[in-house]
Amino acid sequence: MFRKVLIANRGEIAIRIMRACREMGIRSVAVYSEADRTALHPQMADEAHLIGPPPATESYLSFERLLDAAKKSGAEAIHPGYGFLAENANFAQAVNDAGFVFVGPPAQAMRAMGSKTEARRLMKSANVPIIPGMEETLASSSEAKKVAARIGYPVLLKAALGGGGKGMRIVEKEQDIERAFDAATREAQGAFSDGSIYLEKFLQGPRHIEFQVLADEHGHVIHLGERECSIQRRHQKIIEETPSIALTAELRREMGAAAVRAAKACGYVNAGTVECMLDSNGSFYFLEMNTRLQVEHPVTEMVTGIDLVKWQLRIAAGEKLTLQQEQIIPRGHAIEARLYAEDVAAGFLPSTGTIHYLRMPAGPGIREDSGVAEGNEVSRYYDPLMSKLIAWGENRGEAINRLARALREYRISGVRTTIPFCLFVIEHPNFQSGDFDTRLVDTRLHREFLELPASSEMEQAVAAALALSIKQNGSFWPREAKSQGSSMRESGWKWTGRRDTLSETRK
Amino acid sequence: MANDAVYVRLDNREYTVAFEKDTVTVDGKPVPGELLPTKHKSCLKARIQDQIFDLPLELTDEGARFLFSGREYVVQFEDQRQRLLRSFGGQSEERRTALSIKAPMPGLVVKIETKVGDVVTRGQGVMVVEAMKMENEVRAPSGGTVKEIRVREKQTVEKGEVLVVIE
Repeated sequence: MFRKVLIANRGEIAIRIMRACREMGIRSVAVYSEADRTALHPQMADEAHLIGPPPATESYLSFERLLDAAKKSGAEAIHPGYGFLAENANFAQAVNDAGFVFVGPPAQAMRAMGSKTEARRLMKSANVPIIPGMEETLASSSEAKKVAARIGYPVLLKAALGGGGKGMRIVEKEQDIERAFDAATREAQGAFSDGSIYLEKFLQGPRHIEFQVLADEHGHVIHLGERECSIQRRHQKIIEETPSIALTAELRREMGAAAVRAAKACGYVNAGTVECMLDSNGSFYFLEMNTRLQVEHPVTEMVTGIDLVKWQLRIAAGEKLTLQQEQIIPRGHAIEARLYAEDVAAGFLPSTGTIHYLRMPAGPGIREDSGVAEGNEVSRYYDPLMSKLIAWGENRGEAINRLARALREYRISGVRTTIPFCLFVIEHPNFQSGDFDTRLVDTRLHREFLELPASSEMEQAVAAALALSIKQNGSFWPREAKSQGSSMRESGWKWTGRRDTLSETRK
Repeated sequence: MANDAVYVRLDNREYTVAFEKDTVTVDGKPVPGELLPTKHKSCLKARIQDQIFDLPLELTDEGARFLFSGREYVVQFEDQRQRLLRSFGGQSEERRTALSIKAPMPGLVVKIETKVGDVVTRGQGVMVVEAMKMENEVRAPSGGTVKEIRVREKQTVEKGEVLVVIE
């Protein structure tokens, strides 16, 4: 096993990996940008190396600076986490060329699966069903127009090297395709340094179901069951759970077997995820393979009791995957809520600021994978995911109740978060009954959430407390805050000031 | 007593809070309570009747905001004097028709999709601002005519910066 591993990432996922390292007796090395000097992840590692200025291209995305830090620290392996360079085959190659082990799949498996178009070709040959569409990229918006006319609207434009909803656009009608093509190309260029776009049929109302796989370099591949990820806003997942209410035991076996075939087809090694669309008739289609650890991996860990990050490290060190398929027996139900620093009312726009106050939930069945601490700044430079709150229960009902309880316990100020929205979703009748697909948030829940009537629960008491503070301290703020508060303003309370963009969209 | 009253508005509901000796009344109903000591600079702790709770407050341009029991609240307040002032001078302000569309977050203006003189409808995209690698459509909060565009494409904008004025 490795003695020292560098984690080429930041925030909650860097900390998650450091925790696995510590439990295994491996020393962890953090890297951080100038914007993350006071962030939590460098503090949680055994050692930390400054790698550059805030923009990711000059720090977390810089091959040279990451490899320099690895050399300096004497690490033997580099774990990329997810995002940043996790699915960059050139990086995996550069890591190997510099004499380090890349904790992830071989570069050629990443190339095969990283190109959505090549992956489609491979899956076709491995007898894994794929969505009707192209296996090549588009040269121009006029070509997009032609292909779309052939397979029929609505279509989905996707970045060939995409992921995380970046560089993706749904196009309903011909007159929108040019603008969508331009926007998707720009976004893809910015996010993946490659603006290649392809097109496939857009499935109406599918569920998004994915399978976790583990593969070792000796050819042994297993799956660890599915994750239901249909609760998404703007193609980004926000609530994930396992097991999925939509799968029968038979369909689970069939999809699991297809996921294992998919991994074998590309010579996959390490942890990976096979994403599928499941339509309302119970037909499933390969969507893409994520050649990395997923944000939502904890739900699988909660029900299987298997630590995926530890297996990633063991497999990368050349150890055999000793788990057999029949040993994977999920127990209970797990749900994850992604806590983003976002303004939900403004359409899930990033909300930046300093976290003044933070009290995190805990207790039975609750796991929190957080990347922030009180006093941290959520900056504009990086992804706004702050934390993931995961609940386990004996059954789905208990998992929902625990997650709701934990979301209610949460106290945070300084940034706006998706906490209220996550609570709204998991308490919604459609979520509770399992009657949902990938459209639910964008078409209904977001609007319903904004129209939610003010709650009268505790309101009188809250009003009284606020008034008491005004009376005693001259403002809402506690007295201690006033005397030390440099950034606290005491006037500027306006009724009319509310008429800005946010309050207008609330109506 | 009335001179002491303050008006607290939570979301869209207004409460009149008054003080009589040691008792607080909310809309005329006594709700005994006290503030509890806290060392924290942005969290208020209180006991009101038989409930003890903390409110992690955050100042905004509009007043303050807090997350409580999984819900986000916007709170504003006004005392007698402020209310009086507003009743004299506030009318014209209230009827102001120009509406500024502000940058909801810091970012880069990628594309401007409207020009001065255009008539926009509520919800129509006026520009694309990129932040955290995602392109975000900034939409008109209500319909009107574009009076001013204060930014250019490729320009970096700060949170709250006025992008477009519509009337």
